[in-house]
Amino acid sequence: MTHLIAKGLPSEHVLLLGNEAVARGAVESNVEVAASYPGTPASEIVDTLALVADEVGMHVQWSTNEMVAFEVAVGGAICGKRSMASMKHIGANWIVDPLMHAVYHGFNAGLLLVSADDPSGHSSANEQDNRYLALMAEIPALEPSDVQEAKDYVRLALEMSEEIRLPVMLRLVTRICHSRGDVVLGKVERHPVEPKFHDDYYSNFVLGDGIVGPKVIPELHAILHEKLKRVEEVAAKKGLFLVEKGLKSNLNKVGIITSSAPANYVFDYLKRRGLRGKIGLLKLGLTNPFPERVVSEFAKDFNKIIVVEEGEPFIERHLTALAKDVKPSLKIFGKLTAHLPRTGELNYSAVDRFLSGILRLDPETVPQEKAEVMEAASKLLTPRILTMCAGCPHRAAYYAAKKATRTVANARYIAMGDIGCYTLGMYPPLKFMQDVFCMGGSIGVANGIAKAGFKDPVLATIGDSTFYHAGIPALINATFNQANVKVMVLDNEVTAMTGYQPHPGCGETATGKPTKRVLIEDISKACGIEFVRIVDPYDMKSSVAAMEEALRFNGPAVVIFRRLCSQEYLRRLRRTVQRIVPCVVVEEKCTGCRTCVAAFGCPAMGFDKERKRSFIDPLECMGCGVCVEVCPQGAIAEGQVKGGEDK
Amino acid sequence: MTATRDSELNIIIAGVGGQGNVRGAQILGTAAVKAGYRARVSDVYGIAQRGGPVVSHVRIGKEIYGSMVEEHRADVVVGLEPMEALRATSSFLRPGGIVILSTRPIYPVEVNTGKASYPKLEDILAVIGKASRKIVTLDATKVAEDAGIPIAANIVVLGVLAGLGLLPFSELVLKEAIKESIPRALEENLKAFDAGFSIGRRLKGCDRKGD
Repeated sequence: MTHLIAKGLPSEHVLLLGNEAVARGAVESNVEVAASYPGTPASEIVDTLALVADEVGMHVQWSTNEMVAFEVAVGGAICGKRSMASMKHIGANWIVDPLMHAVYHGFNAGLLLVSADDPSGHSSANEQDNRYLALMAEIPALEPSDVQEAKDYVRLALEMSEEIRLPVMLRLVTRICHSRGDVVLGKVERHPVEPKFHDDYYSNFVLGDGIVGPKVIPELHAILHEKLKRVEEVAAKKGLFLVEKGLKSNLNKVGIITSSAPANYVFDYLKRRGLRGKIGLLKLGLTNPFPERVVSEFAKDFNKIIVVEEGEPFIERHLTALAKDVKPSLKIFGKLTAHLPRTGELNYSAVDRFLSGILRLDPETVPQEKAEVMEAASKLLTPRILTMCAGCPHRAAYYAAKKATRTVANARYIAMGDIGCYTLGMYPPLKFMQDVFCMGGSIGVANGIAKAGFKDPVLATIGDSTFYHAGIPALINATFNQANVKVMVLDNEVTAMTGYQPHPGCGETATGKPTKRVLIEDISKACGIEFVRIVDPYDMKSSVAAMEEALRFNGPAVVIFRRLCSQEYLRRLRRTVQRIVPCVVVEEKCTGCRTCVAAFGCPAMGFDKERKRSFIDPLECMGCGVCVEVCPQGAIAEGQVKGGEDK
Repeated sequence: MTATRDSELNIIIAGVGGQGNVRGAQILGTAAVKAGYRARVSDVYGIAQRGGPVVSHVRIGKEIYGSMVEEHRADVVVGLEPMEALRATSSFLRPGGIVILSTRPIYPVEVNTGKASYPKLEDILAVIGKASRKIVTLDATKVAEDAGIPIAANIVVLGVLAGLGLLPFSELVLKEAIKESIPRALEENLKAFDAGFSIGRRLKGCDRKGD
């Protein structure tokens, strides 16, 4: 895919992932600075850009967190280079402070904020509609509806940012980020801009705004409002509104307003029902500031407007307010009227039911034979709960920590989890943490719990990348306010859950360049933590001993469980001629006690009910050998990695 | 278009994280674009890298928009794992559609820990049979192993799809797409594809009676 993003020719027709399309858009439109922190569903934007950064002359980085990433982009744009920061919706919560400054500040080049929202929270802890962040920050929000537009809107957003002189949000959703679609490529225009910086703070406000000298805050705010007034006109010129008036005789005088991914369900519906071109349709490529003129002009011809949107009823609320002035008799149907589900990602069936209901057409129904199959299937299917991978070092760390709490604290403890693969330690069979909060929340919330007056030890479990991202201030706080928190840092030496991106501890940047490692143990000591231990979670005895010691220690403590992510390990192994020799259950020794499957739960292990013996799937096992120590009967023979030199 | 209605082809590839259905779907979509069609591919999965159910949606046609196959509208369900094949058939297969099912199970943790039991293959096939016109079963992992690359079950089933004549473009386009998308062990992957293709070709046209 590398060559396509950098080298694909104009008008070439290719299949791209939505996030790859955004990356291609950035390459085509001369973005020179791109920064991000990994987060699903946004990660592949910078994953892709990192592959071509040197080739196209772009600075691409994984930053310590989203706030820093956005500030890096601000720095680029102040210096006259088109810049972008991309992040998942929750990640954007970290940038609210710099964003609220950015809207009053001038820039010498386009500044793009890519927000990847995750309706249904497929890979997230919440549903959050960042059009409301655009509303609060008072910046334009562009909403592409497919992969082609995801690419094209990057250029349009940057041009708008320069014309209006404001940061612009590109609001994506999972179903665009993680969909592949056919895309016609555009021309790649790369021309490095000579960096420039202003002489003083106030002169910066001169940048294109025609304003000179110091301004008080309300004056700056008023300038922002003046800028916003022009957005709709600029958007219209850029073709961000698709308007289809429909036939005069159209069914019940109904029009549809939609945006983003759900527009596709509307298009598919209208095509299937033979209604395309007959019914009124308005697709908004800009939703903030709300394009009142375009919407008023469209809505006035109809008695009813159906709003099909994902996330919050953003368009619908604005339309409802607008209708009071421009057409009080207008009937509006959407989420507020409970015609469309208020939560969760939309799909074709939901839109079919919604539109058919208002249009008085028959909705699609489940075919009778399928209803029977669904009934029969439901009796056979079991859910596949999420679990850590075979050989995952986190599983070993939790198992060891659990053992330590049994010897030191009668298995009584309070443990807060954090955001990463290791969150899965909450699930059976380990069930190590009882609760989880936001990025960095493990240590932060544990600071509070530790002051609540429990006798049991209070633990926080946090991953390596999350530690750098958000754990450090809370760790300093534990020293500052002497909160007796035992922090387990699950350091698998990579940002695993989002696709193995490097972090400050890896010694390698996004583009694979060597850099100085920032070590968690050094940070912990510098934060004032007096008890800091590093263990290999595959070494069960040492891991248990370190945790026992930490639990007995009087004061905040950090135990770093360091071992490369098993999947990243396998990825690296595939580039070599080395091969894994899996662990094996020695049948004569196995008593069928089930400790391995019931308490440890490695997905490479199973239990044969008929033979009453455990077994290990040789294709799944990665030979870590932790189960050898877990088995109380000594019935597992250790695996290994065999082979020669790197290829 | 082959095996379709509404001049669109809707395929679901279902499996468990790590089985490569996302890559398989990407290859199908790439081939479709090469052959001059519009393509939409979407993957629905949870937060983990491995072990969770993954459903890849592939839509191919001249005028298609949404990137997910609608419920009960898939022309073909490809299951890289029996229970996931059943799950996807239940939600997505259109009555009279075709199912390609790889027979090697991957047990959920709940089954490994003895809290749930894994359904018998014959029970799975019996239920799928109520909805489908044709079921092709094979151990795609075994076929891939024989080709020298056990992880290429996803490529094997692409071969089966092409061999059954279910795609509106030639297997050569698909092989081109494989060459572009597979970074390593290309020869073994193409061998796995050919093995799947032969299996599909052999079964082409052997529909169940009465359909």
